[in-house]
Amino acid sequence: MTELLLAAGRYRIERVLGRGGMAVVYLARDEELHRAVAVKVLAQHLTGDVNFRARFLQESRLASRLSHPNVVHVYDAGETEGSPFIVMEYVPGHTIADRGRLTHGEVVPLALQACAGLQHAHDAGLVHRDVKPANLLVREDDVLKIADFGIARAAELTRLTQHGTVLGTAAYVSPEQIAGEEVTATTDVYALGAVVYELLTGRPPYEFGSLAELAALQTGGVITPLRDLEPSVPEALEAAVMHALARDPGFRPLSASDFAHELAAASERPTERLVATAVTEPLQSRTHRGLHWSSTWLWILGGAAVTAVALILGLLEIGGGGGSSPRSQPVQIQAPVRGATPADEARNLSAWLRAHSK
Amino acid sequence: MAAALCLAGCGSGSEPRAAPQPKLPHSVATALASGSDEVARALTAGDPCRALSVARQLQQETVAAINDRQIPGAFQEQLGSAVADLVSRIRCVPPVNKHDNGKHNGQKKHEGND
Repeated sequence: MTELLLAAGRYRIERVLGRGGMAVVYLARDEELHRAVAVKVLAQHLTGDVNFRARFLQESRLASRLSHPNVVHVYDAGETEGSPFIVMEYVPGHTIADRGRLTHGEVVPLALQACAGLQHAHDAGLVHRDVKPANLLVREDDVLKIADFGIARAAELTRLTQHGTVLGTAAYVSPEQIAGEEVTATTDVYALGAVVYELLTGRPPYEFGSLAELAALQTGGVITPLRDLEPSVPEALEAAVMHALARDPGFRPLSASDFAHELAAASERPTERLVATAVTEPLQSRTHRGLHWSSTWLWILGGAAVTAVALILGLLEIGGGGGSSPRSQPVQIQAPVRGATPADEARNLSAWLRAHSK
Repeated sequence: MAAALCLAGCGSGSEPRAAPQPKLPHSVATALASGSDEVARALTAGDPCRALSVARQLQQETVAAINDRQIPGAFQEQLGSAVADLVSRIRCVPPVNKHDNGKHNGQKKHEGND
């Protein structure tokens, strides 16, 4: 077999992991750091658009800023002979879709991890826009990792999503995306709600034969109450999922962490314990099962917020496998000083913004 | 595999980045600062519910600005975290029926709103 190499021989391609409409994913070996990586190479038919190629890389680099145990880490990105590629953390295991239909006791811990990863990304200003079972990877030890941050946005900006969306993917697309309206963090909450719904019931919230039919259903259709399809689901869990699936983004949980709290409450698992787990586990263990509330808990924990953020994010970088990445760190900007009261904090934030203004 | 991807010599994207001190666009920084000032004013005036509403709006505008790539990368984490923290610290004790409205809105989804 002819040897396949990328990036001046740094990545040795071993085999194809999967093929999608946009890209081919390979298992590769990073010869420099001696580790397995996943390399996503943009499909040939999409490489003709120079602007798209640039956006693909730009969004990938934005995604590389994320460092969280529930987000697939982007290590590297580049372009070769007109074909952009992304080098990512290799996640041995399967997608959540491969698990098939699950009990609510199995679904909630996975969904909580997805919420944690999404919240981290949202805190960093990134909306996934394409949360679906194929992008939720689950390791054999049940650690969930969200893949493909940034890629959907790159596609969206070139209208590739509209043209390239397959029906199997559209089931998780929010009404506002279908309508071409503003996408926010609650868009990802909707999509995750749709995934949870399907995992619990074996079918997506809407069954449809075309995108037009889906749009019509999202406008005037009815989602079958979850417990009609799976009576074993607790009422509170049904309410949480249906809340996430609200047509109007304003009626959904305001954030992924809010959705997590609803799910956790519905599963009768004390939220406080989950949060506590989130605080400690990523620093102590490679088994990242708990919630990680991203920067918010860092603030809560830290008296000296700036130092704490820098220190703990640094530790998470190492824990997430990104510490060995050759990518240089961005310029460090000192965070706004946390005020003694929220009003002080608001004033400090305002002063910070003005001080860093051009 | 004749058409092997022998892709030697390609850029890897790991080139060192220059580190000039970045700045926020004036219009964006001013708009967000005004929102933050309004949060402070509402809190000082003893209206935490309005402060929370404004803070959430500020958070949405921040996320939108980041998504629109108006916020340089070096500021994104700090700004997003600071705004999220501000929102999380404001406690609104709503009128009795305000929270209930939200619940009903969510529950109505069972009845055909979706």
